[in-house]
Amino acid sequence: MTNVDAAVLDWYQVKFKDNSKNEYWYNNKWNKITKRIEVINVLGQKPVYDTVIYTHHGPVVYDNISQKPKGDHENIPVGDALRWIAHDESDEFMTFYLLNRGKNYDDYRKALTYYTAPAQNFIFASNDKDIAITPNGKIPLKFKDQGKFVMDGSDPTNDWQGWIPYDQNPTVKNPPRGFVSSANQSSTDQAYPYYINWRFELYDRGKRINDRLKVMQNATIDSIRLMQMDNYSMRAQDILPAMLWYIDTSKLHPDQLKAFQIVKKWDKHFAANSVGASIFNAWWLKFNAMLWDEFKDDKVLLNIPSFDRTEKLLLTEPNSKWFDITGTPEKETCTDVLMQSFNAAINELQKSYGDPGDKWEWGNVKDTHINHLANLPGFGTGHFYAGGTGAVINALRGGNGPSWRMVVQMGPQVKGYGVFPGGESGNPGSFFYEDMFTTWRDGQLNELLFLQSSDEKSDRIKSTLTLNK
Amino acid sequence: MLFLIILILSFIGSYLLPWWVAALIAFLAALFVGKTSGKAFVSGFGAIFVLWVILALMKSIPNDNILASRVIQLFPLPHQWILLLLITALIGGLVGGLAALSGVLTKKAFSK
Repeated sequence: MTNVDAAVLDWYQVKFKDNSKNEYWYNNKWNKITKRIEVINVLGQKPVYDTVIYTHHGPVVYDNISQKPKGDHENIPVGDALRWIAHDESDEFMTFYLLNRGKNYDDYRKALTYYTAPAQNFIFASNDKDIAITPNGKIPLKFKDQGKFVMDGSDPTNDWQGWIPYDQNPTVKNPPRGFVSSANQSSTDQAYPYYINWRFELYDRGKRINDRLKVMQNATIDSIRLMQMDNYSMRAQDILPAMLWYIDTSKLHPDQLKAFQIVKKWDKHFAANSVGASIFNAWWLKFNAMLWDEFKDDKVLLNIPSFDRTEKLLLTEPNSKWFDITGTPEKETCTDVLMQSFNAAINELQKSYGDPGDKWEWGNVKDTHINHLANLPGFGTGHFYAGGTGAVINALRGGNGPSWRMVVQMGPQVKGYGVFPGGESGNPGSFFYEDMFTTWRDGQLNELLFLQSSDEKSDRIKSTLTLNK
Repeated sequence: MLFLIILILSFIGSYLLPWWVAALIAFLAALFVGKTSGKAFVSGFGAIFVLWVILALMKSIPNDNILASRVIQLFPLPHQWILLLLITALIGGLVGGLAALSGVLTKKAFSK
């Protein structure tokens, strides 16, 4: 299962009749508000009573600005009603209960109809040699871009208009290409008649996975395992040649030229020992920040456009007005922004890691670490040397990444392999606190214990507990 | 003499009562057999210091010092678990030393 990211959380502006907030305007008439008093018990103090106002959409979040913590939750509007799928009653456990006992494709389809949220890509494979994938959940019926912005809560057409029927959620069974996959990218193409969301995970990882699966012959557990550690950057493939093309090498200092030659020859893999990866990454981030300088605003929280938009702008609209840096009198062009961001990136790397060399390796530059839940020093892994980055299959960023890697082989007997970067004990003094970490870091997997019957023997069974009624 | 009494009784006591039993024993032992304040402090400090080193090692060595090596990283000190052992023993030593000192001083206060 992986996330679908369906648009299931919307905001509605509410017009109250008066300050008592007992009635609100909807469908051309005044409607009654529902008030619910929440009692929050506090140890050693009087309980806190919070009166929450509900329209038919849902709760009104923050009655006024003073209730909102300063400098936090900046993306949450004040005084608007929230419609969120998570407030609906649901029975996800039924889905998993049925999936755990399912025998075939039909049982899988049946199980999915009980699932509400958060919508997931349910991937399926069976011993009957069926494969399938279904981005599944209770997904509201909406018009295009509905809920992308705060909506007028008085207009019934802005309400959710029902649900996409479960049998019309996107799904595919036994496609001709012979495999199914998802990396949380957009679930459908333009031909799908319903609206799911306006944004999804970037296409990069999904594309790379499909590219690799397409050419895989007689795949084994190891083929998939090695693919999980793939560091190839689709972004670099898509835009690095264009970025390099804009650089006037006659204007570079010797160190900058050296860095330029390294990134030019880079194989586009975010490997731990890659210097090119560090240069490309620093350059890309500087470029992105300089390009969207218009979005830096002290008063209003603005999301910068997506990375795809940045890539498209670079590749197809080099004369766009967005390339101008607003803080300078000059009129910057795509060339200027790429030159300046390249210089800034190299300066920054040089300042932190000296002249171009081993210290510039991606494994050093990327501060990969796994912290203890309480961020206690010494209780996590500390910095470790590793490849990977956001938009590659091995999506290991600084402090987060693929925490559960698993490969399952279906027949004749089901065999599973998996690992997570920790251990089976939560006790920091235990030998089993992080004994699986290096296995995970090195891209290895452990065979999972999957007993076929209650009397099956295995030397991995350390103790047995029998429950009697 | 005082040193050995505190060491042995606290060792036994540590299996029966919480950590502060060390203070109680050092105080009572000094109350009965303590002579000068200086000697009482040194005996109490030394006995609990040594005892806590032994007790801590009895837990930490079978653990390959895993927990101690992690906990020392919470301190602004070099990441050597042996420093944690020294901090532990120092705290114990101060508890024992001050308790024994109090024992002798209490005796003196009442004997006059």
